[in-house]
Amino acid sequence: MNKKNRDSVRLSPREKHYCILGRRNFLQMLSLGFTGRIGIPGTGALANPSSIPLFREVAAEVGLKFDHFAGTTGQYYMPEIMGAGVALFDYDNDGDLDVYLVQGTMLDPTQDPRRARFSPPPGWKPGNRLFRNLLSETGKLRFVDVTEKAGIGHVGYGMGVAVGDYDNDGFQDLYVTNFGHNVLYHNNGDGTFTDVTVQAGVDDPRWSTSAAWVDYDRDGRLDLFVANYLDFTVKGNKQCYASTGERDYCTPKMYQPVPARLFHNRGDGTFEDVTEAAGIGASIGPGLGVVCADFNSDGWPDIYVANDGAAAHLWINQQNGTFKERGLSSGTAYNAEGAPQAGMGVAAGDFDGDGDDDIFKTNLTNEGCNLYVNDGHGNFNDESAEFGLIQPTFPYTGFGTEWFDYDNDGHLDLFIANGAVNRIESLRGSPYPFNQNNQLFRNESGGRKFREMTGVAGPALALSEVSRGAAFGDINNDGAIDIVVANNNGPVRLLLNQTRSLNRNHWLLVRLEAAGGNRFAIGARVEVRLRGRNLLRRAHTDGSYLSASDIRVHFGLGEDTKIEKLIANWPDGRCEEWDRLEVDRMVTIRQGTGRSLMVEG
Amino acid sequence: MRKSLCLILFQALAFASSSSGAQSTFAVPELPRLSLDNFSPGIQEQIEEAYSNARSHLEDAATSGRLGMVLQTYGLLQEAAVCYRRAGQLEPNVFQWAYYLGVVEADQGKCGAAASTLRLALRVDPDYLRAKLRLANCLLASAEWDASGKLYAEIVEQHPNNADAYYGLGRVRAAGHDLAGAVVAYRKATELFADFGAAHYALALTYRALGKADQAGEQLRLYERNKDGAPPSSDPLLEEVRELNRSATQQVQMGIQLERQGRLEESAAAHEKALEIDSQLVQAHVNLVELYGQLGQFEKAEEHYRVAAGLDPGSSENYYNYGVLLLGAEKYQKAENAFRKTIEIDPFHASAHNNLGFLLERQGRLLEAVAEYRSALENKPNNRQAHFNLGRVLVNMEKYEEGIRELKKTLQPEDENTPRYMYALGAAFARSGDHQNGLRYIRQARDGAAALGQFGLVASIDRDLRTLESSRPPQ
Repeated sequence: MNKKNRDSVRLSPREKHYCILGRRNFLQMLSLGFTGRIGIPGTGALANPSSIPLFREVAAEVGLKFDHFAGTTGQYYMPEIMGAGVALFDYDNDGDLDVYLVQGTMLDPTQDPRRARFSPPPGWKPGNRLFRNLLSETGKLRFVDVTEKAGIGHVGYGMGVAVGDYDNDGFQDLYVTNFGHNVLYHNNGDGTFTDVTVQAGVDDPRWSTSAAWVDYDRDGRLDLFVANYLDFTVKGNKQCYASTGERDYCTPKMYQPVPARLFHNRGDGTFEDVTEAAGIGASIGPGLGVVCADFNSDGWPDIYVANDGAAAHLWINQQNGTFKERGLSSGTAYNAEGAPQAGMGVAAGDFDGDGDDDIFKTNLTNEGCNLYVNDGHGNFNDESAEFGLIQPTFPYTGFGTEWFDYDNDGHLDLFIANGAVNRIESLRGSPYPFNQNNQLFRNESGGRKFREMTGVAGPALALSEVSRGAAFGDINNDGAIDIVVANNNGPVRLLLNQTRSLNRNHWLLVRLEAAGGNRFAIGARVEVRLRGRNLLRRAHTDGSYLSASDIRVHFGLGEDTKIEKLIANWPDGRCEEWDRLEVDRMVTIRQGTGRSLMVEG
Repeated sequence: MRKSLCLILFQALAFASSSSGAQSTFAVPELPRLSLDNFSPGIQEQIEEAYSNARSHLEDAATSGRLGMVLQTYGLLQEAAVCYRRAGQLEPNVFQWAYYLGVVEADQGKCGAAASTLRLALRVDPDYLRAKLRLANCLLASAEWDASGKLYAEIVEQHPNNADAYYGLGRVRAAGHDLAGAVVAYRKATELFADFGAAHYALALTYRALGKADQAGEQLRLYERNKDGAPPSSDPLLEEVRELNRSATQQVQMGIQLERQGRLEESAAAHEKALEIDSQLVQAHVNLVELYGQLGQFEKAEEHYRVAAGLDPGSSENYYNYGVLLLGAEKYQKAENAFRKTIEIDPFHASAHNNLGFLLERQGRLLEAVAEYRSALENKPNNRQAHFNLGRVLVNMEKYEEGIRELKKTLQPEDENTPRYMYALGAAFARSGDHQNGLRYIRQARDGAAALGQFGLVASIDRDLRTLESSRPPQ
C-alpha cells in the first residue's frame, strides 16, 4: 500500500453546526447548492466503453485458488445448490483486504468426498480457507493461504460469513453460518483465531444463511442477527421434479421456514438469545439475505430480510430493544403487484442521492429484481420497472449484490451474481445445468435509470457460472471497488476493477474509528459534500448474499477535486465534521477529532 | 429403467429472429432440436408423438403449432417459440400461433419481442381480450407508460367491466405520479372484483403516498384477506395448452389449489389422478393422508400412509400427517410414535413437538410435555397454540408467573380466538390468587366475545365470573 495516501485526519473542533444528515435538509442542500442542470462528471469514457475491460478476472493469477465443493450426490439435497459466501476483511490490520472463503463438504459426513458427483480437484483441502493479502508487505497483489496458521478452517457444510469486531479489541471477528452448527471465531490479534462459539452462546443448529453484526440497542457493542432458512434435513429430503418429470431441487415451499435469531452482546464475551424478547420471533420466513440500515431515518438501525418465496421482513427498531415487522406497510414485503418473490440477496444504499437508503433485492428467474425506493420515512415503492431493472434481470436467478460506485462517478451502480437453483432447460446435457452470467448495471441519468453494462464489461462478466456470494471492496487499494465472487461447485473469481485507467474520476476511501465502542463504526452514515452535490454512504459489512464486504466507506467523486466537508454521523448518535480532505486518498477518521455538530431534532 | 436416451436431433436452430414481425421476410425455421433424456415416460411419449407428427407434415402449420403447445405446457419455452414461429410462417393469418408465441416470449421476459408479436396477433384478431391485456402488461413492465396507458384505456372503453384493465390503468397513472387518478382506477378495479388482492395492495400504497393512513391500512387488510385473489379470466386458447399437460406433478399442484379453496373431494380426486399417472409419487400419497383424514376416510388415509412410508421412509411430513390422523382417531400411543418419528427425521418440526407435548401432557408427563412445548416454540416462536399449551401446563404445575407470561403471548393477534385466550389468561390469574387481574381479563374476554357474537363463550364466562365475583376477597 502507498503510505502517502493513508492520512489520519485530526482536526480540532471549532464551531458548532447542526448536523444536517436528515432527508429534508439533505434535499434542501441539494436544491440550494447549485443552479442549472445537474451534471454527471466523468462519465464520458464509460458512456462509450473502450476495448479495455471494466473488470479483469485474476483470482488464480494472484494466488486466490479455491474451488467450492458442494458435495452433490444426485439426491438433490437443497443445501448443495445454495452456498456459499465470501468475506473481504483486513484480519491482521495491515491495511489491505484479506479473503475468507466458505466451503461445503459431504452432507452425510460418513461419505467420502471422492464419491460425490463432482469430485474435489487434486490438492483440495476440506474446510473454509483464509487467504492473506501480501499487498501491504510487498506492494504487489498476491494471496497466500494462511488457514492452518490462523486456525480458522472450520469443516462443516458452510453457508455464509459475517464480519464484525464484537469485543471492540480493534480486530474483526468472524461468524460462520452452516447447514448445521455455526461458529464464532474470535480474532486474537496475532494472526490467529479461536472458536468461542460455545462460551459466547451464539450457536444455532438450524440451517443458517446470512448473518449481520448490528448494534441494535446502540450500547457500543455489536449484536448478531442470524437468518435461518428451512427445516430441511438430509434424512427428510423430499423428492421434487421439474415440469418434465425429472428430479430437480425442491422449492422452499416444500419445507417449513425456521426462525431467525437475534443475539444480544452482553459485553463480556457472551451473548443472550433475545429472539423472542426482541419480537423477532413474531414473524417467520425462509431467510436468505440480510441488510441492516436506518431505513426510517430515526437514528436507529433496522433489519431487512429477504425471504425465499415469502414476504420479506422489515424489522423496524422500536428504540427500546424490540422490533416490529413492517414489511407489508412499508411496501418492501412484496413486488409492485403485491406478490411474494423468491428473495435471495439484498443491498441498501442511497442510489438516487436523496439522503436515504433504498433497497435492492435479487429474486428467482421469471420474477425480476426489486428496487424499493425510500421516501425518507421508511415507506417504499417497488420501482424496478421505472428504473429499467425488471426486464434485464427477469431471466436470471440473482444472489449476491451490492450498491457500489464502480466507475467513481459519484453514483451507486449495481452488480448481481447469478446462478439458477433449478435446472435450466436450455442447458440440458450439461452435468450441472445451473450456469448463468453475472450482471453489471450502471446508474445513469442522475439516478433515474440503470443501463446494463454486462455485455461491454469484458470477459470477466461473460463467465457463465453458478454464482452465489459476492463481496465488494478495494482489494488493491487503487481507489476502485473490486469484487470477489463465490461460485457454487466452481472456482472463486476476483474481478479486479480496471476503470481507473478508463477515466479521470477521483475517490476517497474512509476508515472509521469510533470511540467508546463499535470500533469499526458499523452503521455510521458518512456524508461527503462536494460542490453542488452530497454523497451519503453507510459503513457496513452486511448485505449481498452469505457474504461480508469491506468495512471502509468508498466514495467516487467524479471529476471533483475538492471535498468541501466530510460529515460522520456515528452509530452512537453523535455527529462530527471535517474539512481539508484531499481526494484520491485513504483516510482514517477518528471519532472525537472533528468538529462536533449538534444533531438536529 | 424405462428411461431410454431419446435424442431427436435435427438441425440446430438457424432461425434466431425473436419477433414474428419478421414472419414474412424470414425462411420457415426448422423444427427444434430436442433432448428428452430423463423425461417422464408419459411426457416423453407425448412429445415424441407430437414431434413425429410435425416431422411427417412439415408443411402443416397445425402440427408444428401443436408441438409448440405440448412443449409449452411442460415449460420448454424456447423450443415452443421455435415451433410457433414456424407455424406462424406457414400460416401467417392464424391468430393462435402468433398469440402463443407472444405468450412464451413474455413468459421468458422478452417483453420487447412479445410486444411486437402480440401487436401482430392483434392485427389478425383485434378482439381477443387476453392478448390485449398481455400486450398492455408487457408495455407496463417495459416502462412504456404512454403506450400501455392508451391500451388499458382502450380496453376499459370496450370492456367497462374488466377489473384487470382498471388495475393496469391505475399502475400507469401511479407511475406518472397521478395518484388521484390511480386511486380512481384502483377503486374501480376493486369495485368490479372485490377480492382483487393486487388492486387492494396498489390502492393501499397509493393512499399511503397521499397521506391517507387509515384508508391505506384498510386496503392492506383487504389485501391480506385476498392475497391471491384475481378476477376470473377466460383464455380458451391457453386453456387448450394447459389441458395438454399430463404430468403427475401438475395434478398434485391442481389438487393443492383445490384444497386451498376448501374443495377437498376434488382435491383428493386430482391427487388420485396424479397417482394413476405415477403411482410412485410420494408427495401425492402424503397429501392424501391429510386429505382423506379431513374427509373422515381413515382407512384410505392409512393406506396412503403405508405406501408413502414404503416409498420414502424419510418423509417427516408423512409421519406427521399420519400422527394427526391417529390423534383424531384417538389412537394416542400410535400417534405419539408417529410424532416421535417425525421429530427423529426433522428435529425442527414445531407442530410435531407441540402435538407430542399434548400427548405427553394427557399422560401426566408434564415435565416432558413442557420440554416439547419449548422445542415447538424455539422453532416457531409465534406458535400461539404452543404458548397456550405451555402456559396451561405451567399453571397446572402452579408455576403461575411463567405460565401467565406464556399465556399473555397468546393475546396477539387480535382475532376471533382472542377472547378465549384472554379468558384462559384471566382464569390463570384467578388461580394464582390475583383476583383483580383475573376479573379484569375475564371481563375483557367477555366483552370481546360479546362483540364477536360468541354467545356460548359469553355464557361460560358469565358462570365463571359469578363464581369469581362471589369468592372475591374483601378489598
